Amino acid sequence: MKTPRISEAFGNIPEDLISEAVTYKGASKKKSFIKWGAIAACLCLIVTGGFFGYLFSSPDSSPDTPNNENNIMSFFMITAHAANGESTDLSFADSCLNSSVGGSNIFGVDMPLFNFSVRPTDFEGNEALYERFDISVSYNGIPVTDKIEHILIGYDISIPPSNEPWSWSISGWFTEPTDIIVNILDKESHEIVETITVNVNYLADKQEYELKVTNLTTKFPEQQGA
Amino acid sequence: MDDLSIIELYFARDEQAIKETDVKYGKLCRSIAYNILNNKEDSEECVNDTYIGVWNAIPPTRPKNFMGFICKITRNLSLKRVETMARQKRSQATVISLDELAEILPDESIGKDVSNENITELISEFLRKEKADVRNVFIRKYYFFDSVGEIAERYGFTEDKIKSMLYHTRKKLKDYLIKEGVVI
Repeated sequence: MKTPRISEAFGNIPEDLISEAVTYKGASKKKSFIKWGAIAACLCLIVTGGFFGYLFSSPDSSPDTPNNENNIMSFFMITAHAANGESTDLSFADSCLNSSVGGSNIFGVDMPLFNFSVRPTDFEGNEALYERFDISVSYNGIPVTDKIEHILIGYDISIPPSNEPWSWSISGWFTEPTDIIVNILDKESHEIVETITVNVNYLADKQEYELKVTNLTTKFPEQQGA
Repeated sequence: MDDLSIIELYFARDEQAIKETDVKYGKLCRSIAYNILNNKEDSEECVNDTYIGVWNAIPPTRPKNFMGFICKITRNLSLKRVETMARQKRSQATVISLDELAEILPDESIGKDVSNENITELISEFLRKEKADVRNVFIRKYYFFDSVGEIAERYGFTEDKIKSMLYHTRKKLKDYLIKEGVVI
C-alpha cells in the first residue's frame, strides 16, 4: 500500500499545529451550553442562540437556495437554562444515567431523534416532582427531523446540584426562516407546561444565525421542597 | 524535564535524553503509532525507531517544537510501516482515513509541477484559517488517526458533530486545493 501524497504532505505540517492539537482542550467545553443549566420549574427562562462552531460555506454557495443546505454548515444552537437553580438533586434515571455526552463529566442523552422523553429523578431514584421532557421540534405543525443536528439534554456533574443541573439544547441548520417550537410536558398530566418558540433566521451576508424568541409560555407549578 | 533540557542532553550525546523523551512523550508516541498500526508490538518497535530517529537528527537539528517534532517522526515511521504490512494486518481505520485523505486529493490528479512541499504549505495555510475546533478535529483525525469517538471525547462534541465537521472540512479543503491550482 502506498501512502497517498496528501497524507505525506499533511505529515509535514508545521510542528506548532501538531502540538496545538495535542494540548488543545476544545472551545466547546468552555461554552455555556456545556455548563448545563437548569430548566426545572423556573419562570424565568433564558434562551441563547448562537453560532455553533464553524463556517463552511463555499464561495459559490447561496444560503437562500433551499437545495443548497449542504453548503451551509453554520449551525445554530438554542440552549435553554433556568435563571436560578431551584431544581436541586436532579439526575437522570434509567439508561440516561451513564450516557456520556459532550465531555467526560457530563451525563445526559444525545438524541438523534426529534421527539423524546426522559424522567428526571433525584439521586435516590425518586422521580422529580414536576416536569418530564417531551421536546418536539416542529415547523408549521409538522415535525422537523432533517435539519436538526441533535438535541441534547444534559446534566453536568462538575456543577454542584444546587446550582444548575439541567438544560436542553438544540442545534441544526435551516436555510429559510423557521420557527422551532419546543413543548415541555408535565410528567403527570402530560399537559404542556412550557412552550417556547424560537425563530431561526440564517443571515447569508453575515454567515450567521439570528435567533429570536417569539413566544414563551411557562406554566410550571411551584416546586415543593426543592 | 523541560524540552530544552532534553534537547541539550541530545546535543551532549547523553543517552539519558532518550529516557527523558520516553518519560515525557512515550505515551503520546505509543498512541500515535498504535492508532496507525493497531498492533502493540509494531507500535513499540516504531516508537523505538522514533527515538533512534530523534537521536540521529539532534544534533544538528534543534527543534523549536520538540513535541511536534517527535510526533512527526512517529507518524511518518508508522505510516511507512503500514505500507509494508500485509493487507490483512493493516488497521482498517487507518486505511479508511488514508482513503478519505486521498479522496480530497488523489495522487493522479496532482499537477506535474506541484511538490509535496507545496501541498504541505497549502494545507497549513488552510488549517490556520479555520476555527480552532475545526482545525484540531481535522488534525486529530488525519494526523494522529484518532477515532471519531476519541475526538468527540477529547473536545466535548458528539460523534455526529465530529463526523459532520470532518466531512465539511474535507470538502472545503478539496475546493481550496482546486482553487489554488494543485489539481490538474
